[in-house]
Amino acid sequence: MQVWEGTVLGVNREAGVMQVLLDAKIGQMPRHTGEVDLEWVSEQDKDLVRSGAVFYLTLFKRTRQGSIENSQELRFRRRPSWSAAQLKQIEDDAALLYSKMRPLPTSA
Amino acid sequence: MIQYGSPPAIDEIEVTLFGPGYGEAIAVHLGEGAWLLVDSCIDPAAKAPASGAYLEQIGVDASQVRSIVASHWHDDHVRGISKLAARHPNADFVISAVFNDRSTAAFLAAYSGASSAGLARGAKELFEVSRARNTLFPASHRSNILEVVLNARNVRVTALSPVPAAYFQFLTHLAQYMPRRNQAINHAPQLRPNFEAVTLHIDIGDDAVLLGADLEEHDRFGWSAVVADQWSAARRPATAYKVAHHGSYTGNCPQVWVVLLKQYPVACLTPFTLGELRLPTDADKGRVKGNTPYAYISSGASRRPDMDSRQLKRLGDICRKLAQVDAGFGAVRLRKQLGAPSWRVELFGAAQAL
Repeated sequence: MQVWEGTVLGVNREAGVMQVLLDAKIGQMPRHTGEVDLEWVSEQDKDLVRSGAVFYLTLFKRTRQGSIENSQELRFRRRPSWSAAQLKQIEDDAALLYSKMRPLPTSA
Repeated sequence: MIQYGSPPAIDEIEVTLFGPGYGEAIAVHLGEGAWLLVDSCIDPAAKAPASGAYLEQIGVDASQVRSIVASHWHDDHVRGISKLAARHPNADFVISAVFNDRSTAAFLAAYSGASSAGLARGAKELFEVSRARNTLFPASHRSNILEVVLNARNVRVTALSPVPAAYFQFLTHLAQYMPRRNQAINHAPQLRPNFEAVTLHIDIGDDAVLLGADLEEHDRFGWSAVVADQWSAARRPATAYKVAHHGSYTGNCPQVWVVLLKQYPVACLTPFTLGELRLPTDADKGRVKGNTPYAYISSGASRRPDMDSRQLKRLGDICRKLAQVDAGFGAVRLRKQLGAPSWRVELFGAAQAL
């Protein structure tokens, strides 16, 4: 079985492909990039395909009518929305960060 | 693990460029044991920031680093920079002045990982540094980052960019990506082209070094605006150049080679491999080599997939054009004795002539 966490790097809808970055979730494999046809994305996930979206690709074998065959699942992660509490935290963090800035002298 | 040998002599200037294929870091010896670090990437063997591991191996004490510059916030330039900053607590930490604003600071905070785990790209690294530090130094065109007398010479590190127009362009560009209530939390955007990067001019008394970061070409926001500025053009022409934006066409400004550099400088660059984007292209290499015969790249390793044949065949059913991101780590080291006529070039790991 192979399990990969993928990040969409870019989408070319005309060509029907997405560029992806793959991190292995099983074993110690280096990161790879590649190209996946959009036809592998299920209808319910199609609206999630955009640059930066995260998905999981699982490749496995299953027994069907007595024979073993390759199977796969590609599912996109659905993201929650920004909450008011998160936006307040961002505002506070930004104010703290901004307060630490000390401009450098400039050359004439 | 790469063996780098001895540290530079006190009167020897050094520029070492590290790169694994996706990532870039630079260590500069300014003289008399004083160092400047620019950006950060991970050394896969040391599993640590490349420039920090390098200094440790050649016996440089952490206190000898005067400044750390994060040229911009993209992931390939800041991996491990929060660890690097922690390793050198006395070094000034310099970031692009585009973050000297409440809204851009909010962008870093939003994509810091607190609310958006796994979506942060480089924003998380810079935000972690900002949390750990009491002071951050924003740099833009004409900023004096470091000025010190070493080997009886005035050594001066100044920023050539971002230019003021780029600052406002960045703010405008960023506005559309600021988080809003009930809007889905998404990955931090790439924000290209890059006009916010801090490029550095290092004057070492009788010579100079130009570090081009990832600044791209534009007549008002990018390289042409830098070169057209009288103050920039009055800088001492450099004999060593970290080529901008991985040698790409979009980072190329012919006037840089005329105005800011001496004829036939030593040029070094890192590759960028992610998805379809692979830099430098053959055309990019040809253009750089057309400007100087002394050009080197930190990693020229093959990007062939690294997995067993059964896994590769099965994954290949779904995913075409598989390529490794970090296929080979390497470093290009330039050293020059003060007053010497030319740089001595050493190549480590996967580094090679361009």
